[in-house]
Amino acid sequence: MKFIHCADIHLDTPLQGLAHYPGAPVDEIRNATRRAFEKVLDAAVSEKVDFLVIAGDLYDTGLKSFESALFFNKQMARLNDAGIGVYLLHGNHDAASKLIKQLRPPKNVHIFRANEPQTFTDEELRVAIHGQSFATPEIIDDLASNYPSPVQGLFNIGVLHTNLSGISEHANYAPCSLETLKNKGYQYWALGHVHNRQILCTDPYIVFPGNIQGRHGKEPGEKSCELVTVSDVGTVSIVPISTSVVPWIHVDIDVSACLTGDDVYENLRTVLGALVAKGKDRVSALRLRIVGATYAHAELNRDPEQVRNESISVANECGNGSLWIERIELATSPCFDREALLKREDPIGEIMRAVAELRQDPESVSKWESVVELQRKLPIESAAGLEGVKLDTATLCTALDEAEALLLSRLAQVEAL
Amino acid sequence: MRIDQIDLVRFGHFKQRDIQFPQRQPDYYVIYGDNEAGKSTLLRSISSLLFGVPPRTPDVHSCKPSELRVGATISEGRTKLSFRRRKGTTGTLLGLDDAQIQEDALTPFLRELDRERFEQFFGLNHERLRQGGEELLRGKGEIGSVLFQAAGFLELRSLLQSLDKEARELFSSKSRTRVIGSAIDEYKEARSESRRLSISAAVVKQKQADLEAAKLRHETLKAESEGLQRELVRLHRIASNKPDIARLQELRSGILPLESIPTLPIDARKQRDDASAALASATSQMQLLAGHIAERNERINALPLGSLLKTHADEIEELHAATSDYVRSVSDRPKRIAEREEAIELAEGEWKAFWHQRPITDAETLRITYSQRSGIFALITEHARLSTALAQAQEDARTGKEEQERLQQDLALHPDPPDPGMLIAAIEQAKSLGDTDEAISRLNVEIERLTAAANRDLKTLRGWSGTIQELEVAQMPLWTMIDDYTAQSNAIVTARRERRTRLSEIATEIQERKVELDSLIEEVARAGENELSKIRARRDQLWHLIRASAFDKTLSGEEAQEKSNDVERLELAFPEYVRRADEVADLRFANAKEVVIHDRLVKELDSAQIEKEETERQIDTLDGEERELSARWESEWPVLASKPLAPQETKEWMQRRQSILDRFDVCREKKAELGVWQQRVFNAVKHLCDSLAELGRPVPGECESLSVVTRFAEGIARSIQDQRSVSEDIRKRLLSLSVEKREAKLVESMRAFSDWSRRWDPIITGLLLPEGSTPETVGEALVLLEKVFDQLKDADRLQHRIKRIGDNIDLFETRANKIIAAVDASLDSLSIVEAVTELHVRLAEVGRAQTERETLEAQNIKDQASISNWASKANLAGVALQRLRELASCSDDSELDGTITAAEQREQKRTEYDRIAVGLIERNAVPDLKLIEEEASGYEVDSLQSEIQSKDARQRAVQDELFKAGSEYGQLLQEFERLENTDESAAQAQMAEDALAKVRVAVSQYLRLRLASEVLQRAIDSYREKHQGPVLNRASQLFSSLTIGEYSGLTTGFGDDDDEPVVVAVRRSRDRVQIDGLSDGTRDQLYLALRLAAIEHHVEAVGTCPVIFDDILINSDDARAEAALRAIGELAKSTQVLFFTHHRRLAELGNNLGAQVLDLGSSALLSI
Repeated sequence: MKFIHCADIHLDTPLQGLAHYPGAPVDEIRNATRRAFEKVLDAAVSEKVDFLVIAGDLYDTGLKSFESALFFNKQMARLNDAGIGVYLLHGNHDAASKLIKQLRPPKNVHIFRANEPQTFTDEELRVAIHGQSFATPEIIDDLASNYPSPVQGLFNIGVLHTNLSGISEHANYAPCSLETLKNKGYQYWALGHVHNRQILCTDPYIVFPGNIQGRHGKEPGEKSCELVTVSDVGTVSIVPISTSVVPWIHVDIDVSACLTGDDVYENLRTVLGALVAKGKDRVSALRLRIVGATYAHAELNRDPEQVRNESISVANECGNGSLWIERIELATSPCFDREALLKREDPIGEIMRAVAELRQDPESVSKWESVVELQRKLPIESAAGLEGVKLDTATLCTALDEAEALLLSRLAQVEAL
Repeated sequence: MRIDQIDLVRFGHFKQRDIQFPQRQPDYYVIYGDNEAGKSTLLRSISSLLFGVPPRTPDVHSCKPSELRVGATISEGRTKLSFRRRKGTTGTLLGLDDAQIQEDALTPFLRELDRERFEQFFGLNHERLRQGGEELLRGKGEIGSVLFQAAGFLELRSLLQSLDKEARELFSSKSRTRVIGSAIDEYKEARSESRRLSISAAVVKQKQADLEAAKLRHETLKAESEGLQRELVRLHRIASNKPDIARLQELRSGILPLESIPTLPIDARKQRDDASAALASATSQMQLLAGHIAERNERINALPLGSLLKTHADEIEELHAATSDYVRSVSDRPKRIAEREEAIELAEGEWKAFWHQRPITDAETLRITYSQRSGIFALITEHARLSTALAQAQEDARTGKEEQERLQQDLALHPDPPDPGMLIAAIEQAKSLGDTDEAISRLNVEIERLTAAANRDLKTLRGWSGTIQELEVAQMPLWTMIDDYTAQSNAIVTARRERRTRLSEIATEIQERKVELDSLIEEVARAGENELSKIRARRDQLWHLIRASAFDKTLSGEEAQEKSNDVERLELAFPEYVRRADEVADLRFANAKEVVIHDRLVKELDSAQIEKEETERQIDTLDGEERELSARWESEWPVLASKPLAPQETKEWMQRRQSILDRFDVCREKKAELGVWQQRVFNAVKHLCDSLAELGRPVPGECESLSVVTRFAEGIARSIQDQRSVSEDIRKRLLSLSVEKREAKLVESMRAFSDWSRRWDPIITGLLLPEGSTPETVGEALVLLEKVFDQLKDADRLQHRIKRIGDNIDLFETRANKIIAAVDASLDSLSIVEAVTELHVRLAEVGRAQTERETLEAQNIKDQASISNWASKANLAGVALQRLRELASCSDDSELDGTITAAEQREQKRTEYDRIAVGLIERNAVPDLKLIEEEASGYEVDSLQSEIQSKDARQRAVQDELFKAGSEYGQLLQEFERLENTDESAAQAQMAEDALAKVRVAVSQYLRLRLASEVLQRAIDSYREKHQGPVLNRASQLFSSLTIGEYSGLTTGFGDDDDEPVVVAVRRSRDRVQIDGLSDGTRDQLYLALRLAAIEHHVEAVGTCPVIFDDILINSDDARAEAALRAIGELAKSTQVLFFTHHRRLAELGNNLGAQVLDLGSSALLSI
């Protein structure tokens, strides 16, 4: 018996944090979640699996358009043609969604009810699949404890959307202990809700497959679903199948050996060239961090926008449209001693002390008229989410560091005698 | 830190160039050099030394980058460091042995300095001086900016402007077109578009139903069309079978008469033709080949044999090959004989130059001594060294004795003076006080400035005409009291503003309710709860009156009518009110919703009216409270005679008063400090005078200042130390003479010379030279002997070669003569070389004949085999013809031809029959031909055509309908598929996220720029507070000096545009001139004054550092240049100054003012 276990599809949710610029691979990121889901189904068909398990959060909160449901139904019809069943559970994000309730999916899709645990049994495959959907978005009860006892003689799969006793920074829904799951007597727990892949136990298998496509810079790396094979004697093997359409990649570039900006961009060109060669023509969203104590620090910090533009140009040149620079963090350090600068009796020392004073009280900056005006103009919803635009202390402290570097580098601009 | 010496090992065009800067007072160097002399290179070398060589330096043009070296000795007090610098990124600091040393070895000297700071602050060239003047103008002399600029940060104003400009381009609260504003608009638009494009469930369901209906109709029509098409196909098939069936019958009757002809192979005709042609061709070929063989046999018999030449073929070939060597040997032999004789002659010529009495054969006896020639040459070299050493030892011994006598005489002339230790201690103590004149002067200026500023502030203190002392003791209200009044006043103002706002809101609400009420239908307005209650009350009243008069009889009819107050009769009026009450109730029921709204609005209007009145009353109360508070405040504010200020203004007034009083306090502290300084000066002068008196030296007058007395005492101390150092020096030099050592060295040199002579004599004898020959003569003889031996060796080698050539000639001639005699004796008449050549030619001809014979014989054998082959082919063709005749039962070839033709016609007909029959079976997909013929026989041709036409017409009609239904279904299907594939809403959501990301990037840029701008502004303010006093005071003095008194100094004032304090120049006539009123040249001087003052202040506060001026006075006249050089000389008293120039005149002026001038163009780097 073979099946695929996936979760947290979040169909049609946009990728966050990617600002347009000329040469960015705009078309390639469109529909990334749809194309990642298609990859899951391609694998299901080519691997000739018996069924597919979706452990919650097929849709995203607030998704109102039925275009997502139509797309889902069409894909399910494809599996129906291939004789593949689907077991679908609602998680916190799609519990209240009208999309499935109003537009019934094809007959091969079995949806777990929400008021109590439900078991689907397939005598031919010798499998029992247990699960319970979320009735409302915020379930804080231990759903797993009420799941039925295993059906003797069958392979028992528990499908559950849970944060498993606060295992991640995600909301703590349907919490339960690892021991509860282990002791249930099932042979496989197909979990959902946590977005990074985790195999918590191998006897029985308790698996978070993670989401199938990273949605922002804080969900980096390759994403996947699990291909689970159960032998005739009940042994289980799992293989992750890559599904990312646009992976998010964090790249640190150490420029401590660079003397000038040109050296930095040359270094960047080498790193990105290698990355593109490895990436097999797939579009990637990159978060670059330029680090290291370097002589080029002042030149880079004199105009950070110039660094961003140059880096984008190098990415376009190396990637030929397959790299999208999401963010560039200029985290180089100068070859000087901050403490020594603070003690200086000259204007540089004054600047360092003025920054140090503000660093003690970043809250005061948030009350400046220019900052207050900006805050007032920003739409309220823009601050939501992990990649939201916030004028909080952390943002202001980062801006303060950048302002210090900017001033020191621009003031150090001097023609040699 | 100062630079004591720079060593340009390999740097730019310099190589091994050493420049010394010995410590002196003032520490002032003018470095003079023409253009291209290397001033710029030297300037760059200083930065490179201290902070590393920049990656893209121009100073590697005359050496490899790895060979670039520049060295220096720097000092800080008594600590010195000598080091070198190489090019590179790490580990570039080296010791003098080129071994790497730690970079932090420089830290104690550089302190917190970095390259940028050093070049910005401690370096000044003409261009930056001009730029500094312009920046002062651009900044309008604002003090904070001026001080930053004086500290070397010239780009300050443009930096501030660019930060603000860049920030404004990103965001402005008043504009939506800036980057952040537009991105926010983009975000909102995409969000709204995403919502608009989302698809509802109802739309999807309707589309699904339409699609199903269209699909059903399409499938029905499709089934009918397919049935018609099948029937049409069958009819067309039958119609097409008819002609083929008729042809089959015709062929059957044609084949029958040909059945008796014998069966022949299909290709019988071709077999017969091929056999006849093969027989004829074989016969002709055989004849042709026999002819060719006969011709070749004739040519073979005509070729030559040459058997005697073949016997000696190898020997003839060898001789022919050796002919050229033989000819060369014959011509070489006489040349080698002549060369040998010449070598012997040359050897004898050389030999006779030294040994002319002896024959050359004696040369062999000298070989033993000659073989030791390396030892002999070593002795010659040793002779030269020993001679020089002996002469030097004799000279040293002589000069040592003379110097000893001279120094002893000098010592007698310079006795030791008394120890000046006490005086030096007193000088050090006086100097430790620093520049007391400057401190006292600074304090005086400071006191004067503070007093003036306080008085000015006092005059501008609003409403105050008294003195400062009166102000200090004046009774002031308590801060808490002012705060209480302020708080109460603010509370009243706030409360009143809130009430007024609420009043305005209530008015709006009333207005809105009224408009809403008006919009309700008139009936509803009439069906209000109040109206209903009134009608019902009237109805009940009339009923009570009717009941009282008609049933209870408590009232009469007239009384009841009277009490009703109605003109209508009671029995008529009551039903009317019953009807009206029912009508209103019905109305309310029919318009229940509007009625509820109407009633609610009426209640809300009443309540709003009440609230309005209450709020107006509260405002009146607050006005009263404010008046009362104002009266109380006026009664409690006694300080000023005029009308009291408002509480907030009073707070500001009190703050200004405090600031004036603080300034007076500072002024008092400065005066106390002045007193302390004056006492210290007095004590120091007294101590110095006492020490001088103890040493018996003259004492200066009491009125002299401490600096004058210190300088006088320093002169005396220096003079005493000089005297003591002279006598000490003489003693050291006497000790260092070592006369005894010089004499011992002379004896040792003489002994070594004698030892050498003993080893020399046997060599003279061994070389057969006369006794007493010098080492030079022996050397020459050895050189000559080498040439003699070389010539003799050449003669021997040539003798051996001549013999080898003769042997080769003899051997060749003997072998040639022997072969000529054996082959053809008649060739004796030719020369030996010609005879050998002739024999070789003949041998070649015999070889060629042999090759041709072998080729012809091989061709004959081949042709013979072909003739046999052709004979067998002719035989086979005859057999084939005979077999055909037998098959056809024919006796001759003409009869055979007729039979073959008849068999061919029968085969053609059978083939056509089979083809048609197979075609019918395949086309109809029926295995039995009979069934096909039977099916066709059931239809007449005419009726078949009419049936086809009828079915075809029906099919066309159905097709049309099917096409329409298909289009409709397809369209619906496409629409549904488009819905299934659409992602427009999601795409817009993605665009919204993209716009948000753009906002995030721009916000981060904006914050960075705003923070940078604010930090810079704060730093300027803070720097001004700390440095304004000392730097501006000193700059004032320097400015006066630099303008040669045209300006008396600087002061502070306020600018035209705002209240920012600015620097103002003061003319000798006391007129004040703002920065924009100064000429360009004067502004440059002002900038120089500020810069010098800032450097002096820094040196005093942090420590010394070399200051570098690069041709800053190129546009100054002599008087101004001298003033500037003098001011720079003042700086050189406290720190090292290097002044670069290419004007000789400036160098001379510097020299006159105490600077040491170094000429960079001179190879020896001479001081001028």
